[in-house]
Amino acid sequence: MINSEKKRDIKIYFQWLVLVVLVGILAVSLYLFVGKFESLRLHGYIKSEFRRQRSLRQKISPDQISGWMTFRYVNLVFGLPPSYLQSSLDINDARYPNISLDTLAKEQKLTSAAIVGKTVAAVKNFIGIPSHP
Amino acid sequence: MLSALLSYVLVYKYLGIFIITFLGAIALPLPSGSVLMAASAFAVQGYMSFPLVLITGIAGNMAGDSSGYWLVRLFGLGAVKKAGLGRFFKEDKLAAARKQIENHRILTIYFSRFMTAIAPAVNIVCGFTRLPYKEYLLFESLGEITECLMFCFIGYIFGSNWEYLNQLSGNLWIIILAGALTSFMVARVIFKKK
Repeated sequence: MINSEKKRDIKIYFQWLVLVVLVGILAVSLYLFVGKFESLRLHGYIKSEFRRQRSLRQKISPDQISGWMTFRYVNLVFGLPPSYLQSSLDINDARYPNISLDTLAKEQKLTSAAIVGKTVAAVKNFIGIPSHP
Repeated sequence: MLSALLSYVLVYKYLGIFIITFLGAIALPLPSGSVLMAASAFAVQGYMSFPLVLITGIAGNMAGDSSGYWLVRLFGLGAVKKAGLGRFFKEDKLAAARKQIENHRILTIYFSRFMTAIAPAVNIVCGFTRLPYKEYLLFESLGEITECLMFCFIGYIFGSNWEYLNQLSGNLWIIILAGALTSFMVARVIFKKK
């Protein structure tokens, strides 16, 4: 009888312990989340995003072009004619535009940064942003 | 790793999403949530179709989970016996474990879907204990649908800025999970007292 009561007490204490730990995790992660959220909001990423039009939500800046992006994706996002980057960067790969910038860089034995830089310059040239302001 | 996976998604589209979510659900530590978020952002940009991204993500996750469950259910016990570990998997112990899972189905199966590191382990346990597949599938699919909906809508709402949100989502899941577990424990303590 005493033994079962003791067991029950231990079980209840354990449940409360788990509850306290969970509340602690919740509080700490909420604190971290709010901190990060606030920092993003202050930098304009969140507030502006909610206020922008859908069309703006679709756009990225040419400086955001990365090696993992494919030429097809870059063409679509910046509204480039399909053959524009092919001729600008002198690409002969048959897989174009369904090939990533990184893959092309490896094939041409160039660094990823070099291909990304050339692509950014070509995109800026097309949309009328000077490459070196 | 995420960059390589995103290239893969951009090249192979829905097949890429399916394979990544499938492998992530089986056991490989792949950031399938982030991939879904990014793919939804690509859908906003017109590169893919949002409903197809969502459906492919759910299908890949469910197929991966079910494959893990069935692989272990069909071959798990045989494999551990061959490895000489059969004494740890006796029928009475497995039955007791199954009863525990059946008593806490929401907690073990549904909520584990939000934790990519834990979900494959839960699939394995469910397979080992031979939890009825219908029961497992119900909570597993509900969990995966909820998870995919949340990741896809975050990507859809934030569009091109999904990358900034990607770092937030890790914390978000901890809050959701800790909140859910806390409510569960509170309900349990109150209920027990009565």
